[in-house]
Amino acid sequence: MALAFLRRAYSVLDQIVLSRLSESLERRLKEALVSIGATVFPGRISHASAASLMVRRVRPPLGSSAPIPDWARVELSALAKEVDPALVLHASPPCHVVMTNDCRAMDAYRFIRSQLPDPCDVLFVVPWLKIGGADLATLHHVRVVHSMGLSVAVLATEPHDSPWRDRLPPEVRFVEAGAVLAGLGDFRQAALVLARWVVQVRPKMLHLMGSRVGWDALKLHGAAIASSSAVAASLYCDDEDESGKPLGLAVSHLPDAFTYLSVIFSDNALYPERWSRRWGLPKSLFITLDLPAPPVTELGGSAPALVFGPPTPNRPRILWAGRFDRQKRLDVLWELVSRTPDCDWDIHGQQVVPGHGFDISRFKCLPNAYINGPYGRFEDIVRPEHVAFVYTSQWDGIPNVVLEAARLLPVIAPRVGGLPTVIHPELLVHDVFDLEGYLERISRLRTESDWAASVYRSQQRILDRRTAQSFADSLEPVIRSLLENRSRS
Amino acid sequence: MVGKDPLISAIVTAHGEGALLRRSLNSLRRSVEFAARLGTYCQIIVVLDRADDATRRVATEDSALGDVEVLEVDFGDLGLARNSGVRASRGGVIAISDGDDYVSENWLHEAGRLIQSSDRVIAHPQLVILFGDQSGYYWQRSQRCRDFDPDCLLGLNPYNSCCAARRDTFLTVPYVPVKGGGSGFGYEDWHWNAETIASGFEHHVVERTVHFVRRKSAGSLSRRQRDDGALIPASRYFDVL
Repeated sequence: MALAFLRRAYSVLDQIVLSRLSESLERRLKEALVSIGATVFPGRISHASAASLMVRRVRPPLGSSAPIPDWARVELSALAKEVDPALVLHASPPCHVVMTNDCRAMDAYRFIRSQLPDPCDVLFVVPWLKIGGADLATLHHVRVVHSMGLSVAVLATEPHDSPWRDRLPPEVRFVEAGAVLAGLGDFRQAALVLARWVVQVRPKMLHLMGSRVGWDALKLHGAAIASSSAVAASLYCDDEDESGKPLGLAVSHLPDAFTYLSVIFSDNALYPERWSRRWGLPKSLFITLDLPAPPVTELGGSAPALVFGPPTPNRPRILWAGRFDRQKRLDVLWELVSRTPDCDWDIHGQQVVPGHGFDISRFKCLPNAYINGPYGRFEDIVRPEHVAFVYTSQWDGIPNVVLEAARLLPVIAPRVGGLPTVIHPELLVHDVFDLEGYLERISRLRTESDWAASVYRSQQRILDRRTAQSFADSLEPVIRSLLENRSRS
Repeated sequence: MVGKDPLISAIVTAHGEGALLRRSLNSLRRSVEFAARLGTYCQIIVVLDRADDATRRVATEDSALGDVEVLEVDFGDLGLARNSGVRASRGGVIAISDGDDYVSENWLHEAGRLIQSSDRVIAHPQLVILFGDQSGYYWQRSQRCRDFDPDCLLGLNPYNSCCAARRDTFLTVPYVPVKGGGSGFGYEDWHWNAETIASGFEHHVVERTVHFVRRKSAGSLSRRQRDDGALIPASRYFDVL
């Protein structure tokens, strides 16, 4: 309530005061406000910096709202008398100001065009490239398409850092357009800029990977975009609000935009089935691809035997890793930690997207919770004392952290999204709120080492089928077919 | 009137305007007569593009009066219909308008005068008054005005379809078809404005002239295009960086 009021107050303050200041002063004050907001409302402020609040404003052209002059009214009266008596004006007809001095959209377009002047074969449109399963999926897709000898570019549309841009193949061009698009201050304008680029440059294929700007462009200008390029999208799961109502791009955009899509890739079959039933979409639109699981060698050669070695004199430990956000249900994790005082919990992660956070300081009162920051390589956070990896996502596709964890530890996870396809059935709990289910499986893994080893081996057999090569073998023919259809049309 | 070479050919496109076409033609006649009083001779050409019976009837009746020529085409596309009208015209100056709009009495004469002054000029009415189901107005602004930047073309159309220019201008930069019907493309006039600016033509408003635009609550092409999120086709303007 207080936050909603303050947001409204900020909006008024911005319009009346901040926007009239010099740009540097406006930026400094907004940086200060973001900082104060993040301190007072940890995890609830969606702006990482003032960049996304710096909207360029344009004043109306001089005289653009001048009233209808007498000479025009005289002409109107004469025309009404001689041609059409029904030609009347309301007493105060509204004046529509034409912003002939507003070139913000063109400036943004020009920036993107200068970075991407030529048509590439495939343009990936992403919000950003940072730590996360969806971002890793983007990298998998990019690598396959690049390995096919196609020219690839990646356009990031949100004003956030993209530390994983370094993981792209060096020949793939990465364009950070989030700041210029956010500066437009209007999602329609940002969508228009992207749509204009597609219409002008005509890449052979567009692949939307979670970018709201990309989906807005498709929803608002889909026919023109689909006339210019083949359009693919990747969707993995719905988000949910606090009441469990589905949210996200598959709710807000897919029903209006699906007719412009040639294919939708997912990492699981459950959500495509759900979307197909909910929205009446053809099932043939969806292709489920098994994203690669990391090979053991990639995980630094950590041998499972290390994990299942002889009991250590130390207390048993449980591992949790992920983003500190609402989806990952850190409140459930808190309950589990508080109800297992004889285990120590290593909790790794960070808030990735500001504004979707959880106040991690609540764990301070639990002596068996060890909060760590983000990690670089998953295998670096696994210790011999770990008996399990516990996953507490309320909804999901097939998150990469689970694929990584399942290589090294038995994984206890809720029966949501695509998780049943990679998790041993006996380690699945009914849903994220099934606390007793979690506790029972933790207890069993601690006490029944043979059973633990058996479910772990079963996990490995599932993961061994998910290789980079099998992913490429599934994806390449789809891409080839899309591009061939495109060149024929 | 046929046989004498006009200075200005006023081209009106019509499709489903029905009886409204009569009032638009009467508005144009008024402007033609005003121009004639000042020594400027004009012709009116109605281009019927897949016109319905009611529209064809009005055009045929007006043609019988001798001051309107009728051309029938089968494009289903405003731009291509206008191009046909241009090719069929005899005037050195072409004025374009739609079959349900009105122009101020002085439009043809004053636009003709402006265009005589430069072969790169395209003229537009200064004021647009909206009437019918919605009323309102807006000012159009010459390209050389301080508050005009042609880069605004990406986000908006600074000039509506009512315009006048030398016949050569329309032959050099013809309207392009916008396909319509769910293609995602539209606004032939917006595209033409972008193409002419990219080709070095200059758009000017004619002081104290008015274009009266009928606004319908439903069924208009512009509303359909807006609802469909139509874009203008690729334009050279957006390739010149």
